[in-house]
Amino acid sequence: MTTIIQARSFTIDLPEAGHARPVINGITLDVVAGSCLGIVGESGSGKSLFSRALLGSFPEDAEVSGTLRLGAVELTSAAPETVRALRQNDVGMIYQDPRASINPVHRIEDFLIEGVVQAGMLSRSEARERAIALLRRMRLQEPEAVMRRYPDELSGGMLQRVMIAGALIAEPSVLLCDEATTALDVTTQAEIVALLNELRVELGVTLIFVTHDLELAGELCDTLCVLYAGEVMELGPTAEVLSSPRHPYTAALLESTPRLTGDATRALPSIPGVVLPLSSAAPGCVFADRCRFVTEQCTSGRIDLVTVAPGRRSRCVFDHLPEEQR
Amino acid sequence: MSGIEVRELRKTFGHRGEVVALDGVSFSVEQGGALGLIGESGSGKSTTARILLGLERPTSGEVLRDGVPYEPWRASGRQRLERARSIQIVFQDPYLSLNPRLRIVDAVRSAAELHGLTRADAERRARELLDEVGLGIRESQSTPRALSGGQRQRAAIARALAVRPRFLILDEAVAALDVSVQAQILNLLNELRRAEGVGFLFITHNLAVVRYVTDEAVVLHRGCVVELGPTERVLSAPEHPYTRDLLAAVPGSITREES
Ligand SMILES: Nc1ncnc2c1ncn2[C@@H]1O[C@H](COP(=O)(O)OP(=O)(O)OP(=O)(O)O)[C@@H](O)[C@H]1O
Ligand SMILES: Nc1ncnc2c1ncn2[C@@H]1O[C@H](COP(=O)(O)OP(=O)(O)OP(=O)(O)O)[C@@H](O)[C@H]1O
Ligand code: SF4
Ligand SMILES: [Mg+2]
Ligand SMILES: [Mg+2]
Repeated sequence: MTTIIQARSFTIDLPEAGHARPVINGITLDVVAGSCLGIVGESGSGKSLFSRALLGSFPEDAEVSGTLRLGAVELTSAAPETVRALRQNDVGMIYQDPRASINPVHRIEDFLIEGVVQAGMLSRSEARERAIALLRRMRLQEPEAVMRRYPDELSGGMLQRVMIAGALIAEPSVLLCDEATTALDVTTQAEIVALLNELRVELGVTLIFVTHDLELAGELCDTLCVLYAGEVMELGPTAEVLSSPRHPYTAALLESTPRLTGDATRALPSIPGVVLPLSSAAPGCVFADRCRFVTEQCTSGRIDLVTVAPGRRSRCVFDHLPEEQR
Repeated sequence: MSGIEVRELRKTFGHRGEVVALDGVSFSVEQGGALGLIGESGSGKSTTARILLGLERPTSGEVLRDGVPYEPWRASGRQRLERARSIQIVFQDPYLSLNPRLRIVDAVRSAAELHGLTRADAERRARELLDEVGLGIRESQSTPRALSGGQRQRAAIARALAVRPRFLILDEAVAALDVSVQAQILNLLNELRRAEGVGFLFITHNLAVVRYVTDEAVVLHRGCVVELGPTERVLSAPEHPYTRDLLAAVPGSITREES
């Protein structure tokens, strides 16, 4: 098992009103090549910033510390040419807002093939052929006709599938999927997820899968990372995290999931309060002001992410107690 | 009937009308009611919403608002303003509907001013709404660029609500929210419906979400309505094979477990 992604105390600070505000705070994790890491968490918890960082892209004015390695490249200090080569050959990304990230005046064909043709990876006709084959695998009807269309002429889900095809065309070894299937109906989603799984099994592609859909994470991801306010709350094998969450935030997320059975007339449970930015939170647990199990120890000092079971880590005072008292 | 009704909507695209987006769609939502519009990608959901907003004109068919023919696609400037108060939409991709130069709080405030509030009242209303969708001071003072996807989506929801619309169309507008924030927003919308009689058209791929916020559901398939009925019935005893396929494709076990 080779580690393809390695983060060590990886931190992004953004300047705010004269002081630095951490938006990603000390992420430490490893991703094995060919596996799938799922990232879930509160809106604004840093999921997109983290995935973009894996593409070597950081917000303007960001202060980055710690290390973030992808293959042999240390992303926090890589030269622009190195990052460019990495994006061209090794890493593909599917962004969260397809319409905001595609140029509306270019036809789908140009969007899909220009990159690989200009990089000299494929001839124009090879690239066309591969693009059409990919669109077909994305279950887009009449892929040749889709190639001639403009982004505005496609529905949200069709455009999202075009974006996925675009990320796959250079056959990357790491695929970053930021809410890549949220705008898709469940049947289309199921087929795309099957395709992603195939890529993983057949070609050993590593997947980073950012999603709000815990179910979907359960189907696709080996490991699940739960983020809150830029910090890892819980990390472990997906099936275990979902069936027996260790961290109160993970448990609260599971409770908020809407169900297909049971009483739908009552209010859905949601976590009261809002996320406090790390800069204004009390010392200690970032989830403290919203946690129903909060105790005095929660805010009296730093709480580390600790190993709680083989392969499982969690960041909560209760995890620091001896086993019998938890 | 007070509410929105569409009759036999047809919409084609392309020089020869070769893309049939809607092929005779009819349904109605009463004022204060909530209808879920579900269906495959490309089945015509957003096109229906765009027609109701006047952003697209149907090839044929008609829209009735409170029983009267309604042609928002023909609206003049003044009528557009009225329409904005009547129907608001939150799109799938909120980035494009928020002015990139405006701070979120200013965008929401100016929407409230459109509804006729004084500047001070509008400011207060904006803060209230932003608070209700879970955006704090920092997010409110930011421009859309410096927000996360879900924060932008919530800003767009707050902005749409600031106009105090009689009807709100949500086109995949809660899809990019984590389940806890999503629950908070769904509860807020249910509350608006109960307290102010706002009507909702909910376009979503999430069948479990449809259960919590709608009483009726329409299933579109290639531009046609294949199923229409009380949401609970459509989801528990679907009649059309396509609806059955949709339900069967919902992943995993969490959503099938009773909470
Ligand atoms: N360019 C930027 N400048 C300043 N702040 C930013 C910028 N981009 C993101 N942020 C802030 O950083 C935090 C993390 O953002 P990020 O987009 O990573 O969240 P996310 O977890 O992807 O959320 P969502 O689920 O809503 O997409 C948020 O609080 C956001 O407001
Ligand atoms: N401006 C346009 N020009 C040409 N075709 C269009 C245009 N707008 C929409 N279409 C086509 O109409 C059909 C219906 O699109 P629509 O956006 O309504 O689908 P949708 O149900 O919202 O799908 P999704 O769930 O993927 O968003 C699609 O085949 C789309 O390509
Ligand atoms: S440390 Fe305390 S506040 Fe934080 S999650 Fe654990 S119990 Fe809750
Ligand atoms: Mg995001
Ligand atoms: Mg759509």
